[in-house]
Amino acid sequence: MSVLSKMYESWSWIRKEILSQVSGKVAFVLLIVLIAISVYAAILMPPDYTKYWDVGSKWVDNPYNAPPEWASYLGYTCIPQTSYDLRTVKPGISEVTGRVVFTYNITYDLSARDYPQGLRIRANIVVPQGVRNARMRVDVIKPDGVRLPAIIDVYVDLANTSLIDLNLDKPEGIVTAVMSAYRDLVRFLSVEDIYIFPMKYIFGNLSYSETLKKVETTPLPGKYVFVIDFSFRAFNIQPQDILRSIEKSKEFSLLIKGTCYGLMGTDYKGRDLAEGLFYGFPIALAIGLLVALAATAIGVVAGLVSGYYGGFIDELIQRTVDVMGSIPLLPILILVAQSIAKTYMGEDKPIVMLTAIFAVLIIFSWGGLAIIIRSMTLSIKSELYVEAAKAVGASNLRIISKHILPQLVPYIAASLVYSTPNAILTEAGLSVLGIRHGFPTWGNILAEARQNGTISQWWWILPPGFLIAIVSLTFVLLGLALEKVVEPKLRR
Amino acid sequence: MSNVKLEVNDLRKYFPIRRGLIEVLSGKPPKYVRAVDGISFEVIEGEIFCLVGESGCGKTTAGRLIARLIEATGGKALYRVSRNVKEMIPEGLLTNGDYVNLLEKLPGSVDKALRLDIQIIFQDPYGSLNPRMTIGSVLEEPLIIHSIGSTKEERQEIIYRALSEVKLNPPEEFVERYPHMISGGQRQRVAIARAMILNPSLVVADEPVSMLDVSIRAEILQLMLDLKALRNLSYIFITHDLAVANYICGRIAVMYLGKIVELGPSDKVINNPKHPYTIALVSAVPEPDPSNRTKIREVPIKGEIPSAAAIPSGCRLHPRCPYAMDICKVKEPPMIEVEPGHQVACWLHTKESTPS
Repeated sequence: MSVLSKMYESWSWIRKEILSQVSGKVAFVLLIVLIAISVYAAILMPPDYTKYWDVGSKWVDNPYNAPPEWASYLGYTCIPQTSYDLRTVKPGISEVTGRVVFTYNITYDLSARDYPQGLRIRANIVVPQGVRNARMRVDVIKPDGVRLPAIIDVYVDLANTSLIDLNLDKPEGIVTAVMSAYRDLVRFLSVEDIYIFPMKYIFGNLSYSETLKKVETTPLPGKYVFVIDFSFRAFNIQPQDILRSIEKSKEFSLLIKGTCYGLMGTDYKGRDLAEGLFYGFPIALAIGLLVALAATAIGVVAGLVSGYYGGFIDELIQRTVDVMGSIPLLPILILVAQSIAKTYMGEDKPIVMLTAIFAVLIIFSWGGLAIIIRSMTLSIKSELYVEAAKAVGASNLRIISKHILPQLVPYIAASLVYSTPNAILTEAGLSVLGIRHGFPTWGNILAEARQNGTISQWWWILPPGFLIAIVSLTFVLLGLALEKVVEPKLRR
Repeated sequence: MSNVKLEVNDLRKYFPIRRGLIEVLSGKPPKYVRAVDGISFEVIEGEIFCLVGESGCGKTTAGRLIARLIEATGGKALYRVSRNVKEMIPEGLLTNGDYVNLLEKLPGSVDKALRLDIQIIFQDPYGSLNPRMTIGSVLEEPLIIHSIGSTKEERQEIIYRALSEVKLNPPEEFVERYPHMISGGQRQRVAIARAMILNPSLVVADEPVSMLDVSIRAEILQLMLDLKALRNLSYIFITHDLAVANYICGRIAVMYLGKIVELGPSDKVINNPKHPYTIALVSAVPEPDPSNRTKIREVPIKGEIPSAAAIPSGCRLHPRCPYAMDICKVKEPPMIEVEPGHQVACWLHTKESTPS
């Protein structure tokens, strides 16, 4: 109890000393913000996060390589993500040659001078019995009045099932649609180009360029009307019943992908970088603090034992530290991580790899502190008041905890603070070198940017680096403030 | 024998000198600093026994050995435990009824019990109090260790009593202070209070006043005498100051290079020193008579004290002794009695008393 209260006493003294300095104040505020965000992110983080971050079908709706939405203020032409929930739209109902036709007219307003990245229609509808032969056909009426017929035209037979499950992310009928809409340009159109860049032909103005001898497209802002004809052959079923089943369906939507996304943009897989960065907070802090805590704890215990008891155990610990100190850390880390990455194939691979990296970092980072603690223990041990405590019968444990440890607290705190950014930086460095454990750490995001990004994608490269720098800065500032606590000569 | 508090026999402490790699490989024998090299004396119950000598003679090491702060190399120190501690010591370790050999390896519980009974006061009151602990917690520590006083209030009561016993009044004013907030003399009083708070029966006082201002030395010595009278204590008083020794000691043992050269009642040793070294020590004491201030006295020995790692053969004093004879260089003199209770180890006196 009294040990705890002593600890608290020295802690509140340290806190007071830290807060009396500017660097300490800044560090304190930053640290609280970091911890708050980390705790919040750790609570929100889904348990299978690594899976859908790395593989996930979660990201297919997002534009890829998209700058953040606020990039429009920096001069980027920004088309926002637009999604229409067709279940809530009232279609026009008609009957044509024995088929029930629902006609959805969706008006899409393109205001920026750019092409959307894509469009996608999703449907997951269970239709009533007696509905057969569903057909979905999409026409586009451009602002200049040109109608592209049947850019999408699919049939679902519904012979053995009553489930319509569509996921159409490519306007398959775009080539014929463009060919039939621009008859006068047919000779100059490149089928390949239409097929590869359909959005240019849907959302662009087509014109023949005499100089290039081919058709050129320019973005065409204005109101586009998507005419979606959803038709069925119905036996003894009222159209209203079918409509009701559509309204109650799981999904029926039209999505026009923008070119900007969210707060921090997306990477080459369309992953939301804001999310990755957000969930990177607790991982970065966990790596830093866990490694620092464990290494500090081991260093303190080893140093105390080494200095206080001396003899063979001292020799053993000190020689171990010497050996550890002469082994280069980075090659060992790469070796260990790579061998696990190649051989371990279990479900929990990210955790296993991260643990291995933790272990190596911890094993290699307690030595320095052990040497310092040992030398301090040696000098405190020979103080007269320690001998006096022995004379009144104090046990070794009591002497260590009451007479030696309290004097070491500031040094231990400083070491804790300085080794935290070290661990974070090493982990980031490993990721950038290509050691992937699977967690979306900031280092990992940077590593992917290095492999799959270009220098123009600043929203992908700068924020993770900036966050790593901020976290390191926090702890370094804290260390600077602590240094003045530890070294009274620096105090004014 | 019944009133002997402590009987030390052939007490030795050798500190090994670290050898270099070449010395180890070439098979040189390990060297030792023979700090205490076979001393024997008795402390009578209730007396103040003094160990006197110049610095480096091993008197402090002897004190620390008796206080069981370091392990002895050899010898025996039979100590008569006081009645309240006796119950805590198993029968098997007791010899002659009440005596425990302090230099044996003792089990932890016995060691702790003996800490209650034998205490030490250090020379340096600036170093012996932890600068990070208040006076109150310095004094509370022994109480907590030995579970004296079950509650905080009870311990507080004991601490107050101990503080006022060493004349730090009012005690409430001192318990919350840190050592740097009080004077050296007050610190030494706190150190004395810490030694006394466990109610010991033997106190090793290792030059307790040599680091204090001359003005407060007498007060502290008087305090120690008062406490002794009050509690029937025995002191082993270590000092290099013959004036202090003359004031306080019952019997004096003069040490030179780890050996006792002269031992006897203090008035006899100081007023009628027999050993050349003691004579030199006594004549080095500054004289308080102002009429003698211009007189330069000759100290009858020459040179410096040799290193305890390279002790001269024969009588240890012979390289410095003006009366050195041939035998002094070869053979160590035995301890012989020159008058009742007054022993000396010198060939000069051996010849006189035991012609052979």
